[in-house]
Amino acid sequence: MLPTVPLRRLAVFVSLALLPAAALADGEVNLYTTREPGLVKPLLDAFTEDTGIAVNTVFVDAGLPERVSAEGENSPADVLMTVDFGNLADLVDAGVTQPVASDVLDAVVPENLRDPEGRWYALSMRARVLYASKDRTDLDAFTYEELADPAWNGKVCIRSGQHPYNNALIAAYIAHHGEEATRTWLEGVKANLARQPGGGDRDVARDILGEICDIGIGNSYYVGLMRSGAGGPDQEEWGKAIDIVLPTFADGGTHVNVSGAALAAHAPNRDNAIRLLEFLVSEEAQAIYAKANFEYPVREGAEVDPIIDALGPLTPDTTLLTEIASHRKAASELVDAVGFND
Amino acid sequence: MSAIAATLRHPVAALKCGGACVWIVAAAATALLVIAPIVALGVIAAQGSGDAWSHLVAHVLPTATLNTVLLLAGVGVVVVFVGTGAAWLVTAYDFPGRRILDWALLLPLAVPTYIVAYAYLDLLHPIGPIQSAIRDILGLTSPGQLRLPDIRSVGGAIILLGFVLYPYVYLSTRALFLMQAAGLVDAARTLGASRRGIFFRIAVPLARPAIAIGASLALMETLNDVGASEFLGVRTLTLSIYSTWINQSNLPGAAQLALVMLAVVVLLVLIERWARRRQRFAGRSQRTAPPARQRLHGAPALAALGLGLLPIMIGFGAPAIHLVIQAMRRIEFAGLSDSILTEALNTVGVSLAATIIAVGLGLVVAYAARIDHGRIGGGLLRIASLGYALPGTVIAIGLLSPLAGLDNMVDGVSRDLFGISTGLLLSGSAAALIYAYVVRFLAVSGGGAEAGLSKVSQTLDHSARTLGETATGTLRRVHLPLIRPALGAAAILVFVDCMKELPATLLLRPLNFETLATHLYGEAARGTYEDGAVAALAIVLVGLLPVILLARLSGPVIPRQGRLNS
Amino acid sequence: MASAGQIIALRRPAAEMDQVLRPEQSDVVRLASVKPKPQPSAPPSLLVEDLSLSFGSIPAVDKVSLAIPAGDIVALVGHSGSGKSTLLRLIAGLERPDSGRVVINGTEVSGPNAFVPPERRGIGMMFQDYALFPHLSVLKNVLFGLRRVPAGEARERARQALDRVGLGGREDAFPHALSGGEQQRVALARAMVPGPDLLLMDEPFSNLDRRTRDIIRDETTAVLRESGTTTVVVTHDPDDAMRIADRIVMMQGGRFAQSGTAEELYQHPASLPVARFFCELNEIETACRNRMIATPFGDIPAPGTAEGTPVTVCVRPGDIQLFEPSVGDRTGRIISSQCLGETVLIHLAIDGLDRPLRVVAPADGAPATGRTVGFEVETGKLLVFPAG
Repeated sequence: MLPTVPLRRLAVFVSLALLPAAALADGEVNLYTTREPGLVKPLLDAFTEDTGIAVNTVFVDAGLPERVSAEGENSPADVLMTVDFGNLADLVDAGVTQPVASDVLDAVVPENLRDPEGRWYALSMRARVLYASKDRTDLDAFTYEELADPAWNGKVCIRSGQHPYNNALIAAYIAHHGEEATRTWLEGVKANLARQPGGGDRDVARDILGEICDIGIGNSYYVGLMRSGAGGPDQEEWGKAIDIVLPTFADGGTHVNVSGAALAAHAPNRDNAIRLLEFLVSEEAQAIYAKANFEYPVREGAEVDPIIDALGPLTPDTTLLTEIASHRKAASELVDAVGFND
Repeated sequence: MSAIAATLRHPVAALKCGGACVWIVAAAATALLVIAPIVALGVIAAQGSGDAWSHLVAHVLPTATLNTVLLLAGVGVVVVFVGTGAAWLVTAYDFPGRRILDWALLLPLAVPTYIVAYAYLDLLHPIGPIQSAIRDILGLTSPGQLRLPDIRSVGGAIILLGFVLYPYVYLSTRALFLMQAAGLVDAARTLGASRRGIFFRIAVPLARPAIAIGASLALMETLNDVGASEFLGVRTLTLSIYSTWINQSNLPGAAQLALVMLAVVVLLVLIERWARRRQRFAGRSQRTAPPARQRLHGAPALAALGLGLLPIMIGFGAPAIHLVIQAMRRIEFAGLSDSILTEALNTVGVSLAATIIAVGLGLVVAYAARIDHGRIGGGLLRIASLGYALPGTVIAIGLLSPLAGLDNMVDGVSRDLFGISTGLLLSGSAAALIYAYVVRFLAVSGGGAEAGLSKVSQTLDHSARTLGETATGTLRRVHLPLIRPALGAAAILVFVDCMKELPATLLLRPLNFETLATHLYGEAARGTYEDGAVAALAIVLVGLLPVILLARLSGPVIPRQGRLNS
Repeated sequence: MASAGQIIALRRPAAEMDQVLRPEQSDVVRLASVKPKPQPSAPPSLLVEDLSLSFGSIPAVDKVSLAIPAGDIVALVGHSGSGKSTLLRLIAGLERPDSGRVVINGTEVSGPNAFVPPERRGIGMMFQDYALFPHLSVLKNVLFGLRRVPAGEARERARQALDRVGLGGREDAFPHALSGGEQQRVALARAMVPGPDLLLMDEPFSNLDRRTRDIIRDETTAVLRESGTTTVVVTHDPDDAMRIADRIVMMQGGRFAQSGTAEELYQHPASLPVARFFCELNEIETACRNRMIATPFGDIPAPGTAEGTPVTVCVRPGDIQLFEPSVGDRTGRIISSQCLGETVLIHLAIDGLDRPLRVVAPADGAPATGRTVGFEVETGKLLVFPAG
């Protein structure tokens, strides 16, 4: 009647799986992350090797603030790590973080990349860049505003307008130009789309190779992942089919987003948690961010990977992350209003 | 005489319920388990959504509703057409390879929809193998010279989801075709009906309830799908719940939208049941023999085999072959991750535990509905099935506060009484995950148990009861042996569903607990599908065994009785 | 259906007409009071008091009362929808009454203070479809109700029961491999073997062909008599009822229409439906004129019946005598004649009647089709009811 599995083994399994996390011993730190495990693991392995502190992780996609908030005082979470700034803002809003007073963190992380009260710290940066066909385009410079230029009619690829990466870009656009101009811009970009928004950033490169479109928007680190061959020979080919331009706002710099972390409000292993946060901005960890993940380090003077370095000098837009975060809702509603994804 | 003695020994009040009470109470407790997260969502929704609805109504709902309706209608047509057609093919005709088709037609059940979406984008992309081959044949050199329709569209989503989900219809309809009285078919033939005539005039009308059950399962899966729809760029209502929640930071608005959708689904289900209220002919299966199959030879046999293989190739063969190739290349390139075995064990472990509980509770609610003659029990069965009509993440969000609330209460009491903190007993362990699976898939097990029980004549219950057996004893000695195949089939469906479940698993699992699905998602989320290929293949492989078991269980009804005889 | 050869003529004095036209509406039927050997000290095996159950607004069983002494076999008869099966299920505990009581051997099993589930009532029940467990062999079916009996003894008793119904040697067969008659016997053995205080049978013979049915019915009666089991049989077949039961209770619209011995119900039907149920009748619609009811068979005096009251006059096909050659004024023409074996069914056209009369006459010397014959009925054999 039911698939048969040795009952004893099942019993052992169930009893192990049902062990509550609170029973975990000290000398550990518990990490809830919306950052994909593949990107975090090399960092955590290095931390454990350095300190002997074991890191228990759970990768959560949507709902991290809701989960920590529901767990309340008994939450095992020590460090909350997020994939972009919007998530960090949500955590602070949900009241599940606590301020960190750490000279190390304050010294390493530039002021515009951390909360003045220490409730969050950015750990790495990436730029939202232009992928352009090597064969069919020849661009030296590009502005985000130009995405709406009718010259690109039927030639633009992009992932869903509601994806956090694009949501933040559109929110930044609002910060620069206001809602009405952003609406007009989105309508223009939509008119230029070669296909329905969807898939991932790397599908933009693939679609350019497939001649579905000529230009598109994607994150900078995907370029490294593709071109380095880390994603296999197919992706290497996609990466080589595109030129990268670091676009800017007409009146500003390149849109960057950050991954970051915060100390959980009821962290049971508070000291270990702060050690982990401090480790993540150490030279060793920042080098991993740069080499393994192809991100821009937040630490002054830390080297970026040669592939990323070759993209040219990054001039980050100076709009405050908190201001961008405040326009997220408006950005999402504009995407709906112009039917961007339809 | 013993009855009188027994009566005298027991207090009158205890006897008033007649054994049915225990079952009703148990069914009510089960319904409560399911309703808890929905109530929690109601509480969240009641916090007020601000101006969300004016925005939703103006800019989101018209398109999202249209997309959702198109998607559901399209998938509905595909699953009914393919599922019913395939079932008729293997029950009405005999041809070389039919026995393999019999079970192979179930294979797409093993493949999660999001994996199919990833695989097909690879396969059908302009630079993918299929279009490249076409270009080579046509002598074209550049992808720009030949533009084929993009799979990333409503049409693409309909085809992909339809060909992955048709086995739900195939499964229920095939069982019904096998049970159809040969007498009916013979009668139709003596009245001059051709085989095709029998299909449209006898088989399909009789199978309508089974088709409806299968199609409603497939449509619920479609409605609650997130991964494939988002990937294929189809903006559905379920995705609107997500963007309202995540991008507009409006969880109450998202909860309201989810509850409105739930209400609409419940309404549609009620209308559908009402429309079928007179169709109670499905259960009469006494003394039937499967109609004799028409033997095909030569070209017709080949055509039949080809026709049967087509949905298998689309829904299973092509994506599975692609995954095998990708996984092999990946293993060559990066080696085999040592965590894959642990993840597979985790997956099987939680799925198995959830399956056992879901089938047990499904049996409880279905049996309570039966012995209560569908008064209170019927209502409880419907309530217990609500979880299937909600997206996984929404259920998970709904579960967070009841689970953690219970945990913190237990912890508080324990601290007060014993000075020991119990921490998060449920939400800090895989128990939360198992609970979520049970809530989500109780409709499948309860429905399976109900369908099985409906084929057991009520006089068997009465017979057992008047022979001195209690309601519980009757279940054990009469019903369980008789509905074992139906229950086994339901168990396997639940197991496969649990194994593929992603959104609730992501949100509710404890620390350091990866399943194959979460591993795959972790890779897919950062765009490295190829790293997930091994996990994807593992999901398909782990799902394959139960699906083959299922095919054996859902075999012909009559030979099974013959086996009992031996 | 009763065949004509078994019909016993009933002479009804015209003086009883008044009573027939206003039948007694008694719901309480004290069968014990008419039992030949009443045992006032022993409680009845089954006592039903004012039992009612409605499905929605439709009363299925409406305030019926009944007492059955130990060892009696009572048949509940009536058309489908009359409430007989519901009453049986109420007695079994498969339904809960809205009001009223069921008492088995002095213990209240359904009532305001108690509801004993069917498994604790000490009853046995047989079903129309036999309800054999398809996954259990014949022997295991019979053993099903013997769980509290030690295994060895249970086996012995089950084998004996199967031997008694002539199924020794078929212990290992499965139900679907048995004929209808064999299935019925397994069901009987299974219901009887736990030694129930009360046996309930729901249409136990209706799924059998006519010949098998006669044999099985006689066998079943013999088994019941031998064991002295108090039995309630529900049937829609008057033949079953008359052959098997000590008493017959006819139900109509959830109430008792009449009860008594087979002879009483057949010969003295209290109402037109009861009369119709037990025999196929020739019915003639007429009315009372000058305290007389005019019929083709002569006028019947009807003292006390109001002028113009419409009545139905019934005559059984076997009560009509034919004469050849015709004498007197009562003549008719034979328009068809069908041989039924020992008897013939004749359709007789009579002036003044729209439809021909059906007459059952001995086959020996029956007049041929087309002949004109005389006919006669003793007025005492005519049944007169208020128009139905």
